Amino acid sequence: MLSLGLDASAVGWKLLPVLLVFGAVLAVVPLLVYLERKVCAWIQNRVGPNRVGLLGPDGLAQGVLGFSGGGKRILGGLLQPLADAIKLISKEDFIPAQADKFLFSLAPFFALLPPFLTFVVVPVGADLTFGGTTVPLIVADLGVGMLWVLSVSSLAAYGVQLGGWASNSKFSLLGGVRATAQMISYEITMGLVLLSVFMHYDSLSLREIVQAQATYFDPLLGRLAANGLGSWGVWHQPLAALLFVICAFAENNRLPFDMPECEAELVGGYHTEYSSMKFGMFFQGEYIAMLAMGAVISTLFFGGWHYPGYASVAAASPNLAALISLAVLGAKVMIFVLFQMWVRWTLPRFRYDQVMELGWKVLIPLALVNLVVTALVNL
Amino acid sequence: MVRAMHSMLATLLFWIVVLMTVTAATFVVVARNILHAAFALAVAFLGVAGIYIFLHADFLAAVQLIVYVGGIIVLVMFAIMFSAHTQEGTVEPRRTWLALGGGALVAGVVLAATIMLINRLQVPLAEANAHADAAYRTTASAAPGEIALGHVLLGEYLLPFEVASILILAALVGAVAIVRKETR
Repeated sequence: MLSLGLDASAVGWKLLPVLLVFGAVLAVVPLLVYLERKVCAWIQNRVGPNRVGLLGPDGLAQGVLGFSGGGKRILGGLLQPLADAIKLISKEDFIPAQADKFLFSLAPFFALLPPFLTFVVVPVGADLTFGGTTVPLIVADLGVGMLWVLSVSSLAAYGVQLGGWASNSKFSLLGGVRATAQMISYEITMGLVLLSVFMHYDSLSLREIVQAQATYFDPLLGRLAANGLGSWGVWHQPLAALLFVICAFAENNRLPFDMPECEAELVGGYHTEYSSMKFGMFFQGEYIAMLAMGAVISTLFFGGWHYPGYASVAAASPNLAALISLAVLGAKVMIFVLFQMWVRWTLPRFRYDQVMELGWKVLIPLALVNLVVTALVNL
Repeated sequence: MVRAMHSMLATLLFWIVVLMTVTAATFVVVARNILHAAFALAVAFLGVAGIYIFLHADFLAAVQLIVYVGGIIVLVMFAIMFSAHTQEGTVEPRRTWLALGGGALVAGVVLAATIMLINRLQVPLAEANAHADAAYRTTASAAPGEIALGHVLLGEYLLPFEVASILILAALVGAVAIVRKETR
């Protein structure tokens, strides 16, 4: 059935969203690392990376060409991610003698892969049309999209857990144990929240959820009307949105939920023993997970790629409207990524028992109440 | 051409998934390191989820991932980390004739039951599920699997469904009772 409508060009176009999504994610991650340090600098009144740039006394032009560019630093620090990458790749890839070598090497892949897989079900833009071929800007519109998000994020626990155990160090083990407990606890809330979102939209497909947020039922007109902001999921499910954002922090192990790392107590937590690119993969995984969570939050609660005035732009030029929708989703995701950075550099870390208490005694009951209320309303 | 390639690729992928599942399952039994065995079990469950997808049972595959791969095995590994032998991480092999015979008997019964079940099907499972999918897609947008399953679980089989949850509750209470006895 699937293969009936397939011809060579359709297969080719199917690759477009794949390349677009994964290319964009990989290109943005180094910039996020730079941005994180700059945001930290702005918030905490520090300096941040300001040396490794193109021009200036310490710039690339000076080092390679001997050209100082007039002694003024321009965009200093922008090439810091490049310098970091060179450092990470050229460092010794050390495996502790007593470590479980196979699982030690496998764990970083589990940190990197699941957040990538989340993007599979996220619709990144409106359909593009090329000479009669419609190209949906989604890697795979799975009927069980929301469950896919949940199952993939539960796989992320393996990265920290295996990494923590395989290192054979007490700091790593404690970090891994904490991470597992935290992720399992907050996944329950996340599942309950997604359940109430599912009840509200009556669909598990993220594509359909975005479409539902693009329109609303106008009682005056007596039909469905296009709407930009008024039918965003956050207005229908405000508590679910709040709970989901909190759980996203916990799932990504970001401050104030960075128990698994917890530098002050556990050195580096589950990645204490990791160095070189294996550490680099854990590090990259965290930023891809931030992007993935931003994409899921914007899709479920903030209209996804949809924007006010989409209908009128689409009437004039569908492809232009689709390109704008790509940029709109990108902007929404960046807002949530910046929000995560802002919180990280503003709030102090929870104590471990506080994390557990918040998860089990506050968030899960709230999510259950939200679920029951949603069920009653949608009866 | 493309269609033939598509089905060939699907067949190849199917055998890769099957090979992965069987290899991992064998490793669960023979592994000396208990955490390796647990991880291999997770890989085997992942393979089973893949087989569900080949049977057009997407919902079941997602639930398999969430419950078994992402939940139960993570908790099993969690428990192993807390157990006393984490440092050496090995288990003593005690392969007695009784254990081997018992295991072979259970495996044989399960295999015979599965073959009998498959022989009783009039239409191959994958085909039946694909037809149900197609029939449902024309009338409504949601994936059909979970809706049919929901109606069956909360309709015809409501009592067994609820009894199963009481069983899980009993296990939970039992676990708490055991832990409390040790600390007293």
